[in-house]
Formats: sequence, structure tokens, C-alpha cells
Amino acid sequence: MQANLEARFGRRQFLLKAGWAFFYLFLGGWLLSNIRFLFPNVLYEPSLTFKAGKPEEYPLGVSEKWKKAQRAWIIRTSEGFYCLWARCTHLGCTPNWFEAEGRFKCPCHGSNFNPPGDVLAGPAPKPLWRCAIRLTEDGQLLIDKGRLENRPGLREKGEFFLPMKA
Amino acid sequence: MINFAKQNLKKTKIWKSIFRHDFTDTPRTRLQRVFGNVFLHLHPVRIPKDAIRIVYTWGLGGISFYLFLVLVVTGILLMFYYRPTTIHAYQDIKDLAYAVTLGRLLRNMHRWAAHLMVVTVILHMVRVFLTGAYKPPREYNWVVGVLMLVMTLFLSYTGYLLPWDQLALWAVTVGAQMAANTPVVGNEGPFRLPFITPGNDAKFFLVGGTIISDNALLRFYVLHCIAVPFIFSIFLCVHLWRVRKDTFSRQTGEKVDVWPHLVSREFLAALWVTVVLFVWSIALQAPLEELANINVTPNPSKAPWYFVGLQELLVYFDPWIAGVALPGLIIFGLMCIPYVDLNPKGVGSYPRMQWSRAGPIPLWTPVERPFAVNVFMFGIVLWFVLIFIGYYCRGPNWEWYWPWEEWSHRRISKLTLKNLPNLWGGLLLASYFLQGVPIPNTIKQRLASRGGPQAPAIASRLFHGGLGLVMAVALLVPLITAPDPDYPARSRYPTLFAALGHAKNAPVVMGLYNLIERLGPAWGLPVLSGLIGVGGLIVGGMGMKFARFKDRMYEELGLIKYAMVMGLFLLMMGVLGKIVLRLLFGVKYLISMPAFNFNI
Amino acid sequence: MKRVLFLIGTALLALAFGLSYWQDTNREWTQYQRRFLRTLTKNERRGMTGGITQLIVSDLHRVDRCTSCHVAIDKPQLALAEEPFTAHPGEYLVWHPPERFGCTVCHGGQGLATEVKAAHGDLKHWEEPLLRGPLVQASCRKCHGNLEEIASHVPTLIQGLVLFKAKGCYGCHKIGEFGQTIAPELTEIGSKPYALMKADFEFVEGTHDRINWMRQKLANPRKLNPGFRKEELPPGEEEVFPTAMPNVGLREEEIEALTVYMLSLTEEKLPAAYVIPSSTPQPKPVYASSVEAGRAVFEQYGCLGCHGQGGMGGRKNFNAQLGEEVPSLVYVKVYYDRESLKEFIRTGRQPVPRADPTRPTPPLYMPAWKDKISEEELDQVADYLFSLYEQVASTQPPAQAVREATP
Repeated sequence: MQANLEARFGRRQFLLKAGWAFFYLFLGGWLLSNIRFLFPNVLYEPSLTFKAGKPEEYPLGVSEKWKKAQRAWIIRTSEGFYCLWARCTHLGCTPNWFEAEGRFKCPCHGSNFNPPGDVLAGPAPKPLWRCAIRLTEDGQLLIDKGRLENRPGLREKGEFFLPMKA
Repeated sequence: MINFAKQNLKKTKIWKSIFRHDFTDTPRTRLQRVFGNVFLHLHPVRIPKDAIRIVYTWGLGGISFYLFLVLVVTGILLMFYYRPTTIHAYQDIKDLAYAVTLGRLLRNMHRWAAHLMVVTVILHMVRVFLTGAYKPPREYNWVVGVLMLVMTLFLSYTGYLLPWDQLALWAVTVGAQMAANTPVVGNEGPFRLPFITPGNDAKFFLVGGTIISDNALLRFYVLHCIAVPFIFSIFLCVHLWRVRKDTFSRQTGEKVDVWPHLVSREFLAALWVTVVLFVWSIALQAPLEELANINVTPNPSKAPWYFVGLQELLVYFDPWIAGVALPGLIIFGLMCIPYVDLNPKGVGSYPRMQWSRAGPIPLWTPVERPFAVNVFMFGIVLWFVLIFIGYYCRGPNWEWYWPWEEWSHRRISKLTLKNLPNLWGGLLLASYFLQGVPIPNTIKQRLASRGGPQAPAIASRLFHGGLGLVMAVALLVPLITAPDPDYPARSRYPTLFAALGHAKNAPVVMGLYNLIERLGPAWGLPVLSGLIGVGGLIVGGMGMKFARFKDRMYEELGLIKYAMVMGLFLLMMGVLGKIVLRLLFGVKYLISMPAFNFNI
Repeated sequence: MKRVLFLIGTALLALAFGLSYWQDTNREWTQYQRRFLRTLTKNERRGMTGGITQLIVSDLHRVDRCTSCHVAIDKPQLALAEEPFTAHPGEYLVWHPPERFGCTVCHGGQGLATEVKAAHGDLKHWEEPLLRGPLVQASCRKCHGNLEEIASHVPTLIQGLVLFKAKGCYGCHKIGEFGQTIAPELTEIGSKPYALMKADFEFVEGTHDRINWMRQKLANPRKLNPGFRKEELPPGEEEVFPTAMPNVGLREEEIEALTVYMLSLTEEKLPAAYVIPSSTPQPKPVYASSVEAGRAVFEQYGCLGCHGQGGMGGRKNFNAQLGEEVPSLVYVKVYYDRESLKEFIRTGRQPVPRADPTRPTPPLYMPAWKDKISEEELDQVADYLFSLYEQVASTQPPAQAVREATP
């Protein structure tokens, strides 16, 4: 009995067990650090985000303010803001907004989209993409063209719609 | 005179220090040739005569290994002229084609050897399965092999990006998007952990950034040239060692010397593979499209052929299912095979086949191991059918084009697809999976003691028949009676039946609709009941037919193994079922909960 | 059996290797070079280095291997009469030394290639076709802002520029900062990726490249973009009209000139050291009268693109009232006074009322010129438009024009 206890908890066992514990600690830490190593901290990528001014600057409706510079429309409804990527889902041309008809029309092959982005006519296969939109700390709208969504049901919430009563 | 020189050469000390045996053909030297050579001594010295019959292994494992060597050699040579940056990569590939001696041939050989290796590795897996060479004691080696299959596909995937042309960029984009859809650790997958963002999810890890650019190219280059080949080589050592240690799977009859009999055949196989590769590489050019352009997406943009089956699955399932869950389950399922197949028979020979019939349809079925062989081959065939569809039958906007049809970018076809109401879809899924529940012997005994010797069989029939009816009800009742939630905003018809009945892409529903239109609305209920009855009986009948086999499997395997086998089997058939439901019935999702980003 | 397989295998292997080696050493460029060297004397041959010759123009990110076959392009004394051994015509290589410019920046094609078809860009997946004949003038605009000074070298290009303005294309199309947005912007039409032209390519005859697309579009726009007929559409889909771009009946040479101009509008931005800005500031032209100035305004802003020469109208506008045409302007004096005409031009009218309310809105419309024309120009164009009436003063204004006048 004494010999058994000795064998399991004696000084030799303690030295061994402590030694292995340190070893596994080192190994685990080293492995995790290597995995963390593979996540870059700095990126050499062009920015897909832009600040679009304060919400007060936008009346209800479609704003073409950023269409040329950023290829995006900012649309304000009575419920809030969303941002459409001005790229036709057919072959990638830039549609135009027609206020009087209330639709976006692509000049290349005639696709028509309504303000939420659904296809009304023409060969476009999918609705227009919405970009992620949120408010920054200094109260400006921040558009992220790297995050896109166009599925009905998902595009009206989360990061793709900024609620703000008019 | 040459003989004289040769004789003297062989007497020198230098020669004798390298070659410790002479080259006469005696049993002793034959032994020494294999035993005393580091490359050859992986082989045993003598081997069963059946092991050199080509129609047993077809040399597929060896050919795969040889192709790996070809890829390493051609790859190293190509590395001398290739720089993995977005500015230089495309130009370097062009230079190899136009300005480097033998460059075009080497690049072609590398490309075609890679595709050939994927094919031979899959065929090797099929061969090992059919000859039962995964059964104990070879289970571990099978698992190692499955992991090597995954690594082969990953090597091919990472290599695909390196030319940096449109094909590369967008094929990799499709794959990286699947990484983003991984559950838990992907930014767009379900059950996402709260701290996961596009800046630290699985796609970010794979691609080294948020877009596919220089970081991704360098990462894939390192993975492709060093990291994965290194790990693959370690697995290869274990795999070959295990082949040797577990002994060859066909041990009948006499033994023959490895040198010369096996080695000569290996040499011939390598020779002919090289011939085929050469001819192929001279005749067919490896493709190279325009320079990668992140602003222009080709339409359609397809993954390489071995992944285009998964891309086709994306039509029927959400990305996290088609791209992550299903492939994961396939790999898990493959690895499980040796541990759930408790039948010790069938090792060392192909299963005997016979002609049988399923009703009027003639079938060529295996006599031994029918469940194992049929299910596995069904899976393989399904995989290649999906590849065929994705490769030849999908055009711009991933629309259906028959292989002989010309692709048109002016075609507009709006598919009408409807979701089943969640409760009905849930009922359908539940009753489908419940078909797999076994009736254990204990319960059968209790039934027999209560109701007589026929009771268990009747209970089983009622069980399966009942579930079949429930499935038919769960599918047909909502299809015919449920209202269309898209009406009137996005649909012209108030019911699902009317909407799908007018849709060209739901032939079965359209046929039903036209039938009821012609017969008159009074016939609606009788037709519906008739269909439910027939459909239920067919589905339930299938369950009834295999009920005894199912219960027996449960008794043999025990609960856990049975659950795994039946679960994976039902999932595989469920994939097929969902494809049928979508293509023939116009059903999009059985359960749809957009709030949770969960759609099945 | 094994020995037979062994023999056949090794024989095939040797054969295959021999074939690939022969292919490698007998590339097209080696054949051309060998042929050329045979025409030289021993002394002449001494100065020539064999092998692939290339011009590395790092500033332009190009590597051009054209001189591997076009061996004598910069050596007129050794040149022959037959291609590809001719010398470069004119003094162009003096003004554009090959080490600084390369070849493809002007001529297009694929500089990295050493095979004839590939080098001439005549293969799939290469979107910079070789610019043959007068088409090469399209590249001059990449550097030369001073087209007036080199006018003798770029006659087709300048004709294209003139035609673009004269036919009123600015009325619908924008290039740079000038023009309207009724139709797609043309600022970088010369670099438009083929992927965006896939739908039009189905109607393009001949090679599917940018040059043919441009030519056939200018010759007959509706052939390449015929819209969608009812039969092509799923039930319940709105019809899509053919393109509203009018067929102005261009002649062959006019099509060629405009093609050259369009091809010159690329996205390639050359380093500042290469660019020559326009030197002489354009003097503001002086006109005899306000009417003449107004005519110049009418042409400059592209009004005649829709309203026709002399305001005669007649351009087809699908489903528009008043005969599905853009209205003529000759009777404008009868129905508008000066202020209301100017206001109409400022605000425009869109959408144009439909002839058939069930069909889509007409594609052409009167855009708003509010921030695009100065007040002075507005006055001048009003004078011009009123002057149009003089030519038809004797006739009765048509009854339809009354409807047109009602806002």
C-alpha cells in the first residue's frame, strides 16, 4: 500500500508529472501562438468603406450623391437607411435612377429594378446588392461595400438596414 | 572492350561501397536487391502471386504515388520560373508557355498529372472498398487514406489559384465563400460565435485577408508547394508502411520474388502513365484565361471539376450545408466505414455480381455485402452525376442547359419555387428520418407475447406504412391546399398549387394541376387521397421491404453504430430526395427560418 | 507480354519526348529568325543576337517580344519587303524609341507571346486586339493631348472626334465630364471587358472582339441590342425595348473613324513623363450672331443627337406619344415664349408620356440641363430655335404640336 502510494504520488512521480505538465503547457501555448501567427494584423487592401455624411443631410428617397465616386445609392425611407451597390446583376453595368418612374434602369440590356432592389424587367437574375451600413461614433453614416446582401428577408435587417425614424 | 571495363569497374572499392551485392540473378541477389535498397525495402522480399495480378489492384495506389512524384518534380522545376505575386504570377505563366524551353510541356504535365491524380486516388479508394481491404486490421490505414484524399483535393485547390487568371480567382472565391459559411467559425455561417467578424473568421484565416489578393496568393503558394506536400509525405509514409505491416489483402497460393516480378510491373505502370501524360500534355494545353480581375465576374464562374459537384449542391442547399456540412459528413462517413462494417467477409476479392430484378427493371447487384457495396457505389455514382450536371448542364446564371444547347446571356427564365410551410416540412422530415428507427428484438418479443407470432411483422408493416402515408400527406396536402404567402406582392396566384401548377419548372405539380383542371374541382379530393395512398404505399413499401434487414443491422451493430450508419444513409438519400423535390415539384425549402439564417 | 509492353512503352516515350523537343526547338519565332538570317551576309549576321528578343518597358508594365519575329523593324538597312521582316514605316520609331515605348502600347496584341496568332492577340481570353491599319491611331490619344499638332498623323482619329460631336452623340453619352447620362458612359469604352459584352456578342458576326463589336454597333445598333420580344419573355414579364440608340446611317469611313475614337477611350493611365498635354489653348470661337452661337450650342451639347439636324426630330422613341418619335423643334416659336422655353430646357421632361400605357416608358427623354448650360448659352440656343421657324413660317403648325405644348 505504502509502495503503491509512493509509486503514484511520490517525489519521483511529482517531478515527472510536473515536467510533463510544463511540457504540454509549452506545446499547447506554442501551437496556439502559431495559429494566431497565421492571422494577419495589418492588411494591404484598398478600403471598401466610406463615410457618407450625417443622416440629417438626407431627405426621404434615393440620393445619388455617392453614385459617381463610390458607385452606391443611399436610400432613406420613413423607417431608416439602406445602401444599394450601383451594379446591375446581369453583366455589371451601372444602372441609372429615374425619379419620375421610381425605378433604376440599366442602359445596357434594359433591366429595371424597384427602390428595394427587386428585378421588375429585363435579364437581371437577382436583386441589387445592399451594402452594410451603420452609424459611426461621430454620427456619420458608414457604408461597407465589402459586406453585401440581396436576399429578401435578410437584406432588410441586421447590418444592411439602419433603422431611423424620419 | 566495354565488358572488360564493366568487369573492372565492378571490382573497384567505390563500386563495392555503393552496391553491396552483385547483379547475378540468384535467389540471394534477388533478396538483397530489395532488402538492401532504401527505396525498395518498403516492399517485402516475397509477395503472394495474386498481389501482382493487375486486375486486382490495377496498380492504382502505386500510380497515385507515381503521379505525386511527377507533380513534385515538375512542380519544383516550375518553381524556378514562377513568382507568387499578383503583379508577376500571370506573366510568369505566360513566359513558361512562350519563352522557356520545355516550359509549356512542363506546365501542361503538372496540370494534367494533378487532374489524373485526383481521378486515380478516387478510383483507388473505390477499389479498396470493393475488395474489402479496409476491414480489420486495415481500418486505420483506410482513415489515413481518406485524409490523403482530402489533402489531394486541397493541393489541387491551392494550386488552382497560382496562375492568377480569371478562372483561378473566381474558382477560389467560390471555395473561400464556403469557408465563410462554416458554422460557428464562419462569418456568414449559422450559429456564429459572437466575436467572429470578417476580420477573424475561417475565410480570413484561409485567405489571409478579406479579399483574395496578394496575401491569398502567397498563402496558397506556401500551402501548395511546401506545407501540404510535407504533411502529405508523412501520411504517405504511414500509409505505405501500414500496407506492408497489415500484409497484402489477398493471401492465397504461392509466393513470388518481388524482384523482378513486382518491381518490373511497377516500372511498366510508371512508364505507361508517363507515356499517357506526355501525349496528353503535348496534345492538350492547360487553360489560361484573362488576368484576374476582381471587378468582372465571369458568368458562369465554375469551380474545378472535382468541386463542381459541391457547387451544384449549392442550388439545393444553403452554402453552409452544401459547402461545409455535407462535405464534412461525407468525409466523416468515409472514415467511419471500417468501424461500422462488422462483416468480416469479402476481403481479398471483388464482390460477385448477378443479374436480378426490381419489378420490371433489371439490376446488376452484388451477391455478397449487398448493403455495403450498393450504398457506397450509389454514393460514388451520385457524386459523379452531380459533377456531370455541374460541368455540362449549367450555363450562365447557373441555369439549366442541356449539354448540346448553346449558352445565351439573353435568356431570362424566372423559376417559380415555393417553400413548404414549416410545420408540414418539419413533419415530412421527421417522418422520413423516423423510417430509420429499428424495432429491437426486445420489443418484438413483447409484441409476440401479446399478439401472437405474426404481431411483430404486422407492427413493422404498420409502422413503415404509416410513416409513408404521413410523408405523402406532409408533402401533398400543403402543395395542393396551402396558400401562397407571396400573393399578391410577388405572385399572381393565391395558392401554392396554382402558382406551381403554372410553373414550367415543376413538371409533376404542373401535370397534377392540369389533370385536376381537366377533371373538374369535384375530383380534387379523390385524386388527392388517391395520390397520398399510392405515394404513401410506395414509400412505406420500401421501408417495409427492408424492415427486417434494418432490424437485423440494429441487432448486430448496436445503437451508436446503427445510428451512424442509418443517419448517414438517410442523409445521402435525403440529398437525392431534396434534388428531386426541387427539380420536379418546385419545392425550395422544407423548413425556412430566415431569422436564424436556417433553411433546409 | 511484359517485354512487348516495355518495348512499345519506351518507344512511345522516346517518340513523345522527341516530338515535344522538336516542337520546342522549332517554335514559330525560330523559323522566322532562321529565314531572316539566311538573307544576311556574314558581316551583317555578326551583329545579330539570336533567340527571343524582348523590350522590357517597366514604366508601362509591358514586355514586348515582337522583335523576335519582326527582326528588322528598327534596322531599315537590313529590312526586306515581305512581312515580318519589314522596317517600321515613317519616322515613328525616332519619335517613339522602342526601348522607351515597346510595341504593344501603340499596336495592341500580346507582347509576351512568341507565336504569331497569340502575339497578334488573335486568341480567346486576350482582350487587347491588334490594331491594324488606321485603327492604330486610337493609341495616340493615350499620351497625346495635343492632337492638333499631330493632326497629319491621326486623321481618322480626329475625324472620329469631329463626328462624335457632329452627330450629337454627347446628347446621350458622357465622356469624361461632358455629356448626358441617358445612355451608358463611354469614358472607358475602349477597355470594356468582354464579359460585359456577352449578350451583344450573340449578334456580332466574325471574331468576338471589341473592334467588331464597336463597328457593328455603330453600323446598326439595334442588331446587337434588339431588346426582348414577347416570345423570349416568361409570362408576366415586362417587354424590354430595343436600344434607343438611333441608326444615323453612317458610311463605312465614318464608322471606321468613330471606331478609332471609341477605341482610344481606354482606362490605361500612362505615367506623367509620357503624357503631352494640349499645348495651345482653344480660342473661344466668335460667332456672327446669336443664332449662329445658338446653333453651335445646339451641336456642342448633342441636342441634335435626339432632335436631329436643324431640329427636324425623327429619332425613334419607342412608345412615346406623337408618333413614337422625338419631337421636331421647328414650331417651337409658336408654342413657347422665351422664358417658358428656357425653363423647359432647364427642367427637362421625364418620363415622356406613353402612347400605350400598358407598355413600358419610352427610353429617350428630355434631360434637365439646369447645371450644364450657362444662361448665356440658353439665350443663344433659344434664339437659334426660334430662328428655325423662319424656314417653315409659311406652313400651318401641325395640330399634334399643340398637344406637345401642353405640359
